[in-house]
Amino acid sequence: MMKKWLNSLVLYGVALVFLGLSAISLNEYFRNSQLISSHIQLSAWSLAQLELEQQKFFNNLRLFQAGAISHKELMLSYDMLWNRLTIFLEGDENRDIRSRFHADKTVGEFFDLLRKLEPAMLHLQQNSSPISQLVQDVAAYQSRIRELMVLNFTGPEASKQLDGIRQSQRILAFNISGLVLSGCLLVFYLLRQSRRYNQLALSDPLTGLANRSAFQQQLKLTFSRRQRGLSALCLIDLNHFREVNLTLGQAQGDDMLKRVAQRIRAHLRQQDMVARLDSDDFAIILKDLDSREEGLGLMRYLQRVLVFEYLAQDKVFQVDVGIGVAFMHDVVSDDDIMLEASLALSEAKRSKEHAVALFEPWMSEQEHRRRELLQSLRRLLEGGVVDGALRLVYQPVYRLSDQTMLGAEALIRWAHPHYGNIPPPELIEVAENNGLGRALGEWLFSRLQFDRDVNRVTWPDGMTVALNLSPSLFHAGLPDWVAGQLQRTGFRAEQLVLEITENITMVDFQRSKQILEDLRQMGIKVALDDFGTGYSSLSYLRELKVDKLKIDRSFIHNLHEDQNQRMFVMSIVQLAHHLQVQVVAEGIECRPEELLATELGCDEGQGYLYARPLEASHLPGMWLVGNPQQALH
Amino acid sequence: MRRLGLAVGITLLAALMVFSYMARASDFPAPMDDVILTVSGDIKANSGKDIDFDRAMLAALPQSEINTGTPWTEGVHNYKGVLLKDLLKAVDSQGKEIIARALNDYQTTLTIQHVDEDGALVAMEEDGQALTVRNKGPLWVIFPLTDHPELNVPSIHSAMIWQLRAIVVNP
Repeated sequence: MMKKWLNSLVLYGVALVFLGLSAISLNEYFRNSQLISSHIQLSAWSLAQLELEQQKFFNNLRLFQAGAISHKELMLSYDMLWNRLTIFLEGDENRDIRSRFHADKTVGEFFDLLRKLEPAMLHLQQNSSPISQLVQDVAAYQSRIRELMVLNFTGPEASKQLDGIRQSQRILAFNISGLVLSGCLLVFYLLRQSRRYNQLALSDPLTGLANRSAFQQQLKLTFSRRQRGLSALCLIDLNHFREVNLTLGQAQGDDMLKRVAQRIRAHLRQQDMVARLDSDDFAIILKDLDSREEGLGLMRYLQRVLVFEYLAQDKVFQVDVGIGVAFMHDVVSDDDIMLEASLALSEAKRSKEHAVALFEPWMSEQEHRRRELLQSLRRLLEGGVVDGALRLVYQPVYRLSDQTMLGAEALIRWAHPHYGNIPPPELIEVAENNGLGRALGEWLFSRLQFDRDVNRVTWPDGMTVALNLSPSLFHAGLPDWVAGQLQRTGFRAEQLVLEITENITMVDFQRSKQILEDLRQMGIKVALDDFGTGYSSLSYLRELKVDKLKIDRSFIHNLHEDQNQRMFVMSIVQLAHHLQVQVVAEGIECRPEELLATELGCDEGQGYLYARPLEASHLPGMWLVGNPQQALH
Repeated sequence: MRRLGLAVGITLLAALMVFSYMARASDFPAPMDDVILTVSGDIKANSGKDIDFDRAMLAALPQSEINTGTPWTEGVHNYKGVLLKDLLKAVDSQGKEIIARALNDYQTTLTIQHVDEDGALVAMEEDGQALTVRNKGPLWVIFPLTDHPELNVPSIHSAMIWQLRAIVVNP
């Protein structure tokens, strides 16, 4: 923005200088020609004065002869003629005119004559014969000096010179006109080019919509002007665009974006600005709205228009969008409204029922909370704080057949100084979305070590500890990473159960298989967590080799009252056992649930019936007690 | 030291006497010789009547010199005479414009800037020789063209009137 402004300023500056210089040259040219003519004037004046003084002296001679004037008056005119002749013959002013037509010779001869006359002049008498001779001599030069006048100012030589001056003036004028004209053309061309470049710089070549920088300019402008009506900023994001791009290739992806752009443009009003900010992110500035309802109505309408089926290469893609809307009535800056609209967009994409979301204050409160949490979490994890606000609690796991304790699942807890207890899913989400998954994983091992060494949570032989794994850790490097953590913290592979969810393993099935295999090779047990809540099929169980399968608490809850649930659990147990996979019942809360789970064949169980998740300091007591029923009393 | 102080004192006294004489001499004496310059117009001296100067009267005024070339002479010459500024002071004039007329009735206008800033000189001598009618005399208005090239322009040239005969001071 600043640079563009500077560019056009420089351009206008150059143009101004060019025009200024041209004007100055033109003016200088006229001044010069005036000077030339004035120089001629001076010469003319000088020659005319010479002729005049000569005439005056000649007349005075005749008058003296006739006795009309005194000798003194005659001598004055003689002296003045003398003066005039010396001026003509000396100095710069008359140098040019002296050199033309042998004027210096003619006037010089006349001056010689005048000097020769001096003795005679001093003793001149009226009516004497010398005076007649004098009159004759001076008269002879009168015609010669007259001739000089004629030659200089009307003769062919003088005319030729004048013609030359005129011609050179014409050429000069022509040149300068050309200069001015070409300058104007140059300026015109430059301005046109820069306008064209500006346009290019402000539009998106793919869709022809405004691009990000044009959009930002417009947004700033809308802010600075605060136009009459209400304005709104709407952000649009295509769902599943990435999959289209991956499946069909970028050319088809671009084509789809073009179609979407056309639809948006076609269904909005003339005054609304539409821009493409980034791959599938579109932005709209709605202007002159009468009410919020009108703006929301427009966006709901647009959202319905943008739900369509995109057909390409015999495949059909369901296009749909999320729209976030923020009104520009009480926000402070364009950055703020951008943030508000994007928060609304996130909400629109998150919620299943509203594809158009209007910004509401709680969204920024939530965003604020997320930021605060992230900051705290980052401090805790990156600072290596083991015994801070984050801690582990342990929920014991029992063998259902004989109520023997087998180990415990380590669960993370966060007592935030400001927000209180943070739900673990929120904690995981903050960590995962901000690249802290690995650090969190390392913290888990460090805390296990801390609880063992400081809180004396010793793990007797045969007792396992189950850890929940962040999705971001689930990649090809996981086995090596776990090996490193075990070595660092002094745990053995046999003590560890890693719990993963189905969704994690779904992303790349072949790779997941390999990772699980490597882990089991190391002697680490793997448990499939929350089984039954995802999309997993039973054939999927056959492919993935896991040690345990944890049936989600929603299947165990009220097991004794629901026939269908019992059928499900029974089938899962049978299938699992068939595949040599142990089954864990999660969330056992009462005796009837426990009885049924045992009856249906579940191998292990955990839940409030046995123990709530325990603080580290209470866990060693459980080892000693062994039987949970005794611990309860 | 004491003698120097005495000399300065005498000089100051003499200067004072000259100034008091000039202040009193509101009337100019009649010229003894040929009149070469007549000053008239807005003047307070001589009871406002025209003042005729002969050569000796002009020579009695403060004398200044200029070394300069001109468009009508070859080389640099020394010119000596009365600065127009001093002349106006002598005739007690506050005029702002001077009309100068020559023997051949050529006429030009000198401004107060020509007088006060550009240093116009009414020259009486060239290289120690009295200027004559034959050599642009007896009076020629000279500007220091050589030392001040910015003055070497046509408008100043036309103000350099020779064979000066009379000046009229306008308010």
